[in-house]
Amino acid sequence: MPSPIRILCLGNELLADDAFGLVAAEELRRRFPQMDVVFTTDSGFHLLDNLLEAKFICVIDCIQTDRVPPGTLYVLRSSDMKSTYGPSPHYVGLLETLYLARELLLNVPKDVIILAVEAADCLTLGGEMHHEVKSTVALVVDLVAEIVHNSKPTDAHDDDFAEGLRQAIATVSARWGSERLVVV
Amino acid sequence: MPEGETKKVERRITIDPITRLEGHGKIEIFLNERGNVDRAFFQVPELRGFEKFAQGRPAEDMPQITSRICGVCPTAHHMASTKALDALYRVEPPPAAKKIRELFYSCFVAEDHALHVYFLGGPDFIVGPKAPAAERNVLGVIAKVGVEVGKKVIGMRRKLREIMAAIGGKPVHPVLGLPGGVAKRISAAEQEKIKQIAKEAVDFGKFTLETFQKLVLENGEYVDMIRSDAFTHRTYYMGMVDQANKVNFYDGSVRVVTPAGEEWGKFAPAKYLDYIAEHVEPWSYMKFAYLKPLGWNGFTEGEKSGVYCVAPLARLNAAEGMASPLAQEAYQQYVARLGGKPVHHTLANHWARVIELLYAAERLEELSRDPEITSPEIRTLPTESPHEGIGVVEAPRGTLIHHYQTDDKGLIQKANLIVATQNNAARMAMSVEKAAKGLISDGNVSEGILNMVEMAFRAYDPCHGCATHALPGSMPLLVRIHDSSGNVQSALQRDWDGKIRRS
Repeated sequence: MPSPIRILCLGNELLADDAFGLVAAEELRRRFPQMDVVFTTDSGFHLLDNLLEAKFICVIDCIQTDRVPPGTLYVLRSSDMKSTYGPSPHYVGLLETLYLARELLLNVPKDVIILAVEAADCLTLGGEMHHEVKSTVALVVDLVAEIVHNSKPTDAHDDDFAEGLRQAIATVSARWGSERLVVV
Repeated sequence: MPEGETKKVERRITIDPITRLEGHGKIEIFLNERGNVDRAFFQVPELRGFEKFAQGRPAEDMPQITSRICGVCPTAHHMASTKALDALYRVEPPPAAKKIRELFYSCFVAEDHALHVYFLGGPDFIVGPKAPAAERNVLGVIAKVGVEVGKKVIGMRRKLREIMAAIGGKPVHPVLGLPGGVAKRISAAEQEKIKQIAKEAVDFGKFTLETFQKLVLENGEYVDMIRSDAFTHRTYYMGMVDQANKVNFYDGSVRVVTPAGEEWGKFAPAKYLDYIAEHVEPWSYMKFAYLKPLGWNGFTEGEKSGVYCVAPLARLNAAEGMASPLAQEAYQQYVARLGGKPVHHTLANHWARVIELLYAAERLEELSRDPEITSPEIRTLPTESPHEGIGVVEAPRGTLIHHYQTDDKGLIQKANLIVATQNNAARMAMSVEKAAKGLISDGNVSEGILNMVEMAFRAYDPCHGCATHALPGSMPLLVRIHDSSGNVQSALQRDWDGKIRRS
């Protein structure tokens, strides 16, 4: 039985640290060939196609908050982000698309976990990944593996998925150091 | 600043969307000694290093590379790049290839415009600019138009993308364009399917126009807002036109009209450097495009200013009409209702977009019936040595120019892109300044500035670095008020959860 958890890796392989999602996807596929791993450079409402028909989704992406050092991994949940706006297509992202899909009664997950690495630069075409960001690939792969493992992937339910996430964060924090993770 | 202070102060207010990748756009507002707006600047950082990145790469890779620059309009970059390759190799695609490209491109424009009209322009017009902030989002739009209409939009989008996937290999990063033609012909079975979807697209375009008329145009308050001075600028307008001076997204000449609506220039894309130059300001990464023969005369309106704009409003101003019957009828109503051409109201972009959606659908339908689209003659093989090529298309957000120079092996030596946001940058800065001036007086910064300033630049849909996707998905804004020493005196912030707080 396939895993009910889809790992949706977002980013742009041309834009320095924004390649994080792609590099993580390649590593996940190499280590876990059975895992449902999707990488896309899609943006805005185009993300809809990647959200449909999955019980749980774990997104891997970049974030820029300028509040923590590059390479720090944020763990966010879409259910913690209640409000959304309708700005321009260049400001439409995962959440608008998710909200829209739910409102239209399309089959999308109740919750999405977002694992977002703090990036140093996502605007230089052909730029190198920051070394701290690159080093977080192994951390995020480890965290995803723990999430899938702890959530009993063949028959995960909402409650044990949430519990699995808590266990995975605890395990990975202990292994890598709690300062590497920011759980929101 | 302490009450009673009399020395001259200059305060800087920064409105900083603190989202991630593409959220680096920043608005800086400078107040004079009375606390009123002196100047306001809209900053958009561009992607860096494109020219260096492109250097040494085979030119034929550019349609694939450039389509990855932007996750929102990859098809526009793909097509502008493909046309630049035609020019680079001095090769004329066969008629069938041109029609297949235009058919594909019409699908893209129809899809993009549909999403924008309903889900993005919707919060301003369908829900209403004065609706509570919590309702001014896609959910508010669905609540107003109904779930069935929302599903209709998503369903239409899916079908248009099916056509794009069938023609372009995949819907997002197409592998369709080659110098001198396209990679794949259309089969008779595919044509039948395209015909059916195209008819549905025209019906959808008509439905959208009716919906817009019912929800927006029958509401006098909305029309007053479109026509209000706060969202009006008398500038030049640019857009691509066919031989009859009708709007064309895929091919033709670039036409520019004056603020009075008269033709000022009409040029082949290859001549763009004679007409367009770029101005640099010390406070922005953005290069501000202006009309070269007129020169840069600052952020000013009128005949003497080189400031111009692109996108739906500009295209309808730069053209003399639409090349399809239903869109032409809608165009005439639009011009009449807004007091004749040119239409200077920035917020009319949304209405113009509805008309263009209908045109794209009608053009798609016309091309779907053309027997030539199934011709096997889809490629003219290049035989000339490459040197220099320029390709132009009308992206949904405006004129998009790709310009490549290569060595005789076809390796890129120099590459230049002018994207819609650069064309609009000067006028966008003027719109933000006007909105700020209307909302800030005597040093009082109203919370309304967040929405109004956002509306002022949203109509242009600026591409902020044009990276990928926004997380957390919304667009938090931060207004910082600095004194002349750079110290933050206070801040007004809209957070991820939509709450506004002062500190």
